[in-house]
Amino acid sequence: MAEILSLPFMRNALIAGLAVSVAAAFIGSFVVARRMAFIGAGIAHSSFAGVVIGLLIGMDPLISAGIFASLTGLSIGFLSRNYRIEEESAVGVFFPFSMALGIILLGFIKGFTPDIMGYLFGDVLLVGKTEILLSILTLVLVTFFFMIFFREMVYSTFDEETSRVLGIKVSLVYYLFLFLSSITIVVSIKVVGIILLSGLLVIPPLSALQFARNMKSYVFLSVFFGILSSAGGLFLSYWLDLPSGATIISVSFFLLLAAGFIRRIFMR
Amino acid sequence: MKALEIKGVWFSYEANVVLKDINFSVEEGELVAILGPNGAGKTTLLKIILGLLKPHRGEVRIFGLPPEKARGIVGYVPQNLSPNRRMPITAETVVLMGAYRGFLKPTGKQTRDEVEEVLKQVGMLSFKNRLFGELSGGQRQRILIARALVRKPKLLILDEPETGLDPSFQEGFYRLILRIKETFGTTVLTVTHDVMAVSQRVSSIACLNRELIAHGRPQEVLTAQNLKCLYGEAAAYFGHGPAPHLVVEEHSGGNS
Repeated sequence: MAEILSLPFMRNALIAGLAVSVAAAFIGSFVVARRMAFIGAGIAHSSFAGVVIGLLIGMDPLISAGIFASLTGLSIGFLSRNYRIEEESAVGVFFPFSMALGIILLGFIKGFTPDIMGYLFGDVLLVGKTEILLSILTLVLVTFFFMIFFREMVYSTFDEETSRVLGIKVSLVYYLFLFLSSITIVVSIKVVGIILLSGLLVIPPLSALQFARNMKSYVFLSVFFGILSSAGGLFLSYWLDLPSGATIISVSFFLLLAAGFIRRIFMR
Repeated sequence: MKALEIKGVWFSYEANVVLKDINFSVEEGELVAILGPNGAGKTTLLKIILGLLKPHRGEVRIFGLPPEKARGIVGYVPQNLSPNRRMPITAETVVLMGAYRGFLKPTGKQTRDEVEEVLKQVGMLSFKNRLFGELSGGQRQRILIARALVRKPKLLILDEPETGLDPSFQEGFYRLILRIKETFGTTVLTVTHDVMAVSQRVSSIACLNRELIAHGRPQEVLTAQNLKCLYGEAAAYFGHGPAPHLVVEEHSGGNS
């Protein structure tokens, strides 16, 4: 353990990994409760075009991905609320389009693009001071959002129509949530990668659902499983020399299996 | 005082006129039903009353206030609520939702006591820590009524409350609504397509089929002529005996 923590790149990965896994667990709890898991995957994949645009124009890919993913997330929300398009269908439009755009633009980048695999599948070696700062900033923003809007999020997730009758600013809360989901997804890219990212959002809350008896315990258990997946995955990836993102998602998957098993055997 | 006034309300979805010049009012303390077949515009009218939709013409007043200013005095029980059944929200939290008074206004001990009180009134106190998704249809309906009641509403609005309830529970459900009305003097407005469910329980009925067909006491408005306008069939209503019943004389393809 001490050996791992003495390595600067592992220390960076651990700090960023823990910060994004906590933020992703907060966001993911409501992604799962709102049955919008596909949106998480859609926004994550749409950030691919943002990454490529960044590499093409010489901008930090994380910033261009952040802008692109936020615009995509908000567009999905806008289309589904104002046009005859279901949320899932809107994702079905943006998901392939942004991947296609990314692949087309990739052809315009001159020379070798070694980073692209790191963005797709995650690479702890890519985590530097900027990523740590962005991860912590995102965690602070997400925590702040849930401290203020927790009741509004719970109520509008449960019953949107009555929430409107009660005077809750449902659309404001929804768009803020989509924006923070997009930001969380983008800052998680270097830890788990675009392809695997929706797993970080969805799997820990599903594990939490096996035991949760109210909304607060659900969110806290999601955070617990998120931290366990992230820390466990990073340590395992170092010891076994495995890709970090894939190991984190695999650990979270086995934790979900274990949680489901424990529930079936001991909590019937 | 008038609990509800609907004055010259028109509404359309694009070119499809759903509500045509609707006018009627409800006195304080009344139990009123809006009756009509599927597609009659009942839910649209309800959404206008709740302030969720704006009428293209006309206006709604709840105790003299426009709907958006009357939110504090209106309780609402929606139809066919279908939240994620796996969402771990307790019955108590669902009822607490009804006590929401605004952004950054936390719920204190007094509110929690009030939640317990309404849960007791609807006979669901022992279920307060149970997950909403694990309750039966009838139990959920009681929790949703408790959520509406915790606001201490002057006007309680129910959207097709009998949907999904078996007949034996329907009776108990309407007994509960009548008790609430008597105890608190609450005005109750229920929307339904089921003549049988409301005809012997309400003080007046507004028959709606995109326009107001009739409004008055059940015996006055539930005529064969009005029912034909509502359901598109020559139907006769009989109010004698232990339960009212509707006799369809000839079928012309409408709802019954």
